[in-house]
Amino acid sequence: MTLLFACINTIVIVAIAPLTIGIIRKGKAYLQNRRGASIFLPYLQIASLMRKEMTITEHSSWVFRSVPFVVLASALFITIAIPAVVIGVMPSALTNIFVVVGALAFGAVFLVMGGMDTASTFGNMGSSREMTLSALVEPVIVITLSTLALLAGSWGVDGILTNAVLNPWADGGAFALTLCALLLITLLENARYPVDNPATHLELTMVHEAMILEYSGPYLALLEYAAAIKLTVMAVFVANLALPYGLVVAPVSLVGILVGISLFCGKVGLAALVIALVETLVVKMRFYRMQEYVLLSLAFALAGLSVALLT
Amino acid sequence: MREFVDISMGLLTELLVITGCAAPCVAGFVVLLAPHRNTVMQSVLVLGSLAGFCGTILSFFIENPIFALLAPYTMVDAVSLFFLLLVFAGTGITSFFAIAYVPLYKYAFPASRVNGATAFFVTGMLGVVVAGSVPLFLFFWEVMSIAAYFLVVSDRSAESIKAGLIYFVMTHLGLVSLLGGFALIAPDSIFATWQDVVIAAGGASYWSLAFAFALFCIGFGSKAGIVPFHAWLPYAHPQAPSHSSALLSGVMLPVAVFGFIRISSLFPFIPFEWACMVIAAGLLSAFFGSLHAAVEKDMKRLLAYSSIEHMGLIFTGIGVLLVLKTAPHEIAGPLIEGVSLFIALHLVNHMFFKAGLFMSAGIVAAKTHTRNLDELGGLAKRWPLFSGGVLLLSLSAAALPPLGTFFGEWALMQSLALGIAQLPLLFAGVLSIVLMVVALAAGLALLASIKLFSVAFLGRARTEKAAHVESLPWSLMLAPLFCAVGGVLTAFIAVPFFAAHTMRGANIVFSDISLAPTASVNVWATAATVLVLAGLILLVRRLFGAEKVRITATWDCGAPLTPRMQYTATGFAGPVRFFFRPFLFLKKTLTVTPLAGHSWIASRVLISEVGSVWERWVYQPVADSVLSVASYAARIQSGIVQVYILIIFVTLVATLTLAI
Repeated sequence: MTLLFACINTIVIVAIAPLTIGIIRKGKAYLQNRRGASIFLPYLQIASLMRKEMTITEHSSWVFRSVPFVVLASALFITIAIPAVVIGVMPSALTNIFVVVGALAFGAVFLVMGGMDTASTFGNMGSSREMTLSALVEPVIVITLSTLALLAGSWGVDGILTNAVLNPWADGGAFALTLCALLLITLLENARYPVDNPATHLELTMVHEAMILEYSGPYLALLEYAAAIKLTVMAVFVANLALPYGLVVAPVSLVGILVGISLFCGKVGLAALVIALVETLVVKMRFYRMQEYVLLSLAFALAGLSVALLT
Repeated sequence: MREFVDISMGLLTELLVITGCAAPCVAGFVVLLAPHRNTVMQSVLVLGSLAGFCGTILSFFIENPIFALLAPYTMVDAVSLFFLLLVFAGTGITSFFAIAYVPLYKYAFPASRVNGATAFFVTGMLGVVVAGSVPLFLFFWEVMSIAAYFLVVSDRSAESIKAGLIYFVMTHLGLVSLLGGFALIAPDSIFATWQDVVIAAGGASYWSLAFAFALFCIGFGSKAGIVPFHAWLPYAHPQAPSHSSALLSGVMLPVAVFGFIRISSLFPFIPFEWACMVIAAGLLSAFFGSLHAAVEKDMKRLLAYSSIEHMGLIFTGIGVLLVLKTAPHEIAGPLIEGVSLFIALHLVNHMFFKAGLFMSAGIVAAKTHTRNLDELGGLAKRWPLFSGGVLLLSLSAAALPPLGTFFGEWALMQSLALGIAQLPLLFAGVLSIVLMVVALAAGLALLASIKLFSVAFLGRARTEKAAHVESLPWSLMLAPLFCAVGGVLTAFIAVPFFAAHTMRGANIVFSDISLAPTASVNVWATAATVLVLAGLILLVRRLFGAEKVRITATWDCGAPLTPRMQYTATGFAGPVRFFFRPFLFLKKTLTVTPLAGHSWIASRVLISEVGSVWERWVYQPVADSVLSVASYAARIQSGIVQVYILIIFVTLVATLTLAI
């Protein structure tokens, strides 16, 4: 049964991930007085990329070709480790907060190597920046997840979500501060504003798009899919913590799962619109001011931890 | 029948351990008799270490009479056995590598010199681990230190001799600290065994114990490369031949850790404040080690800094252990087990990946004639198999799941997080800081090891040196590949083994490793999930993906790309240098010389240096003041005999007056 529920969580995320990107783009377009493309366009993009011919640079090695698979695998691992719909069934060994941190880092590291294996300055620049950001944000993620675990009294993400369902917004102050830190981390990890501009391939702005510049065809499809999955998982995690309604806790019923999935879709839409709003209101920061952003999130995380310890 | 089996197993164990311990001495004689037979000498070490390794493993399960026989002079408990295993494993692997590696450098250094020093070095380390009394311990410690000096200066280049000098001074400052420490806690007898020291320390006053503890921290810390006594390590380790660097980093530093563990177990009590000082030193090392590894461009110096970081993590672990021992035991008990698990696992994993990476760096340097990452690149295309091994080693150094190192660091982080949640506020505060710095160091270490791999092996060759490399023979590749596989296997063998040892619950193969309810990981489940996902994705790719591939040039915006347009290691670490500039000593010198007759055309030379703030703000002032004191002292050395006689006379009179 555990396997089935893990599959439900993964399949739901995989099915809806491109839609998240579509809604964000549509939302941004509306806020900028444009009409925007259909929210289903990302599905078509991925499908057409899968059928296209690939170009691979002559300067790359076997590492370049393995990157899309590893990155997608790490994204899928996160869908298992951070349940989105059915909770309370995963063994805590697989959803342990430090395993989640490790899985995130694993995907980032392989993206970086993909960018380094192109012999192109663009790819290298993106890699250098991504690696630096991943290194800087590590303590923030660790502190944030530890605070959440400490408040919930459980060291698995599953347990954290279960506790959020049972006692929504217990320890409000610490919880709110930690959630702010988590939101900042989500924006950083997924290369959104104000850290990165997901819409352009210009060298001034880029982190994530620079690393995957040299990929094309099915490989690009896999990488874009992986990015969409990661964004959806993390955004839904924040949404689930803030609005812990509709999560399916054992005993699981079919009706419960259907209600859970529909509420999950609602949360995805809401999270996507919030991201669209943030991306419209906030301007991109200079890369060499990123330490301020990371320090801000660290301050939130530490404040959350201190409040949690002192109260 | 059963008795016969027992006795013969006991004899076998005994024989194997004796063979292992005698191997370096035999190897030393081989060097003496046949100085140029590298293969024979290394084979003796490999086979002896293998025998010793098997014997030590057996000793965990069978009572080994040989250690009991030599009882007052040796002391072998589970901790010594563990470090014996480490020494044997490291020696075996690096000696196997040396069979093919040392002949490559026959013009740089004679094999006999390095091999002789190696024999002494291994003897010293084995002796330190099993020594049961203070003089034996110090004797073998000194044998190890001096042999290491000869390994460092083996190629007799000016750089090596300078590095050797720094090492020699620092290691003897360490030795003096150790002597001082022993004199403080066991003042009555020079021939004290550990038990005598425990008794003597039990009666010593608080302040003499405190001073002794500080001196031991300095002594063992300077050997293990703990900040601020680390300055020698990034100079000395890279200068040794690579198989010796592997031994120095992967085994000698753990032996220093062993010394610290052994000595701190002799103290009757270790208060909270002393433990916090150990934690502070460990965290400083972890932070500065990983930061310098992240910005370093010399392959072997990067690895040396990474050793400082990992030893820092282990010292942090020991400090946390000591802090937890002062906490209420019913809560801290499981956490102590968790941190012990981390220390044991991390020593094993560090030995594997650091030895493997040093040997790999040695191979790269031997084939490309440079250690500078900025001149390398594109090696993965020419050495696909070897690059796979180095990738695994780098991932292992980066502590990523599902490799063994990850589970070790997990045990540390999880114990820290549990401590924050459960212990009183003072402990929780200390552990929060520890958790934050450990995570930061882990992040920077991730950057350093990925930089090492991706700059050297990916993209295009940045210079001609790396462009035309010959294919690698198996004899060179095997040892690093073995270490790479070892780094993976530790997750499946060492993790359950040590977890079963340090925690309640005998058999935990296939089951969770758990520090508290819900605070658990499962090596097998993680690996199985990763494998299933990888299989699934490959399947999807086969079913749906197009197989049309065109090999093209890299997108160049219309202007041809050259290899020099790629990021170098220096460029890669640019953002880190910028963000952490208060913690680095950065110096840029731009020299502009106008060409004769063309005042508008100038040649520009930019020298960019990344120095250590410790060297600039601690070591330099100390060295300056020592020199100025020396120059004052030189004034009385006028070269006139009468003055010297006067000085002797005055000294005698003063001494007599004081004595009376």
